[in-house]
Amino acid sequence: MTAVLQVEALDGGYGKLTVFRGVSLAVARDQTLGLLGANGAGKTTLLKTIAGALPSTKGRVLLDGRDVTRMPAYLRARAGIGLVPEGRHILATLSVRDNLALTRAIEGHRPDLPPFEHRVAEVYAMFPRLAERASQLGGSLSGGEQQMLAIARALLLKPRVLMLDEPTQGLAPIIVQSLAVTLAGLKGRFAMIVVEQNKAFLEQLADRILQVRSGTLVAADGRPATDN
Amino acid sequence: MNLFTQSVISGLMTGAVYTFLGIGLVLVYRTARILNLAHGETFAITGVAAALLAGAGLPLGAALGLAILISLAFATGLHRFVLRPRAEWPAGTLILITLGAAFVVRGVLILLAGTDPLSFPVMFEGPPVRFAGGAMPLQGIALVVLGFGVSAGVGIFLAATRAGKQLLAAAENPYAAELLGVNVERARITAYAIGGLLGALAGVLLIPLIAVDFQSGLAMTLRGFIAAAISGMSPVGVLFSGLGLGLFEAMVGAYLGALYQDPVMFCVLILVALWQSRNIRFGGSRRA
Repeated sequence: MTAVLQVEALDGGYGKLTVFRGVSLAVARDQTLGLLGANGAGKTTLLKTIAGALPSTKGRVLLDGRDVTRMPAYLRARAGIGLVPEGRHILATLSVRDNLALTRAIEGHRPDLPPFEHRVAEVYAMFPRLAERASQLGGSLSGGEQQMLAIARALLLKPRVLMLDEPTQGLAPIIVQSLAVTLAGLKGRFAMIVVEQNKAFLEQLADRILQVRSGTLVAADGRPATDN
Repeated sequence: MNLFTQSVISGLMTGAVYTFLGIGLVLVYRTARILNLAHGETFAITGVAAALLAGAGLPLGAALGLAILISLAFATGLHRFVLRPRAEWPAGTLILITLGAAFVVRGVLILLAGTDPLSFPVMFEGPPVRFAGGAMPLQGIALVVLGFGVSAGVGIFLAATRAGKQLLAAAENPYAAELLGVNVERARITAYAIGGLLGALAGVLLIPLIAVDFQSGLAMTLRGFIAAAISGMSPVGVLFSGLGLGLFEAMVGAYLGALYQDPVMFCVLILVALWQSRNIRFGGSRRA
């Protein structure tokens, strides 16, 4: 397996507080890894650290074999690490179109990118509701629409690896089902890591599921995960 | 001379300056969530530096250019070397640090230039334009046109350009902006630089008409903040609040007397603070 994303013995947390320790995992381009865990297990902190929004205290993060451990979050986004954060973090005072256009910050850093209009047309085809709401403020969207927008923004980054942090949180069951179908349609285009508490949702999507328990990764049978 | 017309002219000129200063404060507040109490020092530094350099024999254009660069270096250096390394500190502490920086600048200005007011020649010479019983110097016309023109330009930059929207996004949610590839640090330093440039331009245009001394900086910060707060920290709204504030202050000076200007402006500050206390928040996410 050629890993797009490789995490080696990573420690991280907030200041002096270590939240997760010794995490190693690897995800190939056509793989979807599910991370299951209770509140406070360290799932969100792990994703934020892989994305560069929090510093790691030990270990390495490799993207396509390139060490990005010391890279700030905006450079990792430009390099191809996309994160749909918990709570979506939509820019409420900008329109849907402006939310999407912010991803143009990566242009000039990725020579292989198709023109922005082509990329936007692609995400509008995937989420027609966003095209209808293009001029509406991000803050005025419903929870499901905001989740669509958060995923669309990450897709516009043309990620090598897409991480989704609790994408079903606060969504109605019918929207969760539609989200599962959408994400299943994306499989194979890039590596995916999906963090969830919703086990049934993860089982529909993930090729394999690991559990996060008190800041360490364990396999489904409870043994320490030896992922790479 | 018609007192009312002359007050309107005076108010337009000071209003333009308050707009300049208010926009700088708004930009820094919106990107870094702190109130930069050293912001008005860009006005004082530019004025004192230009006066000293022109007095030392440098051509006026070169003196003004160098003074603007010094002011820019101060504004961006304050962020890069003083505030940014302390980004995790409480917002109140960072605001006090900017106040401390303002007093440091005061001390340096006294050491360099003494306590007497200084000035330098106007850039736009010629007889004043007279209308409706009032007179407006050419420099004043330039100040009003440039003041509102540049300020409107900043508003358009924020609302209609990619870089401006990145700056707004960095202000609203730096975490989300970084995840989308936006260099938040560059957006912040841009905000400080634009603020510094506007403060310096205000100094270059107004000081030949009124002079400057070591105390001018904080007075300008205060007026700029009132204008910014009235607008609800809106880069577009401050265009109008700055103008309104300038006109109001000129009317107070004309009809109550110059001695009443400061007490009245402090009362306005308190009223605005009470009115806007629910809307203006410092701190929150990672700052500076």
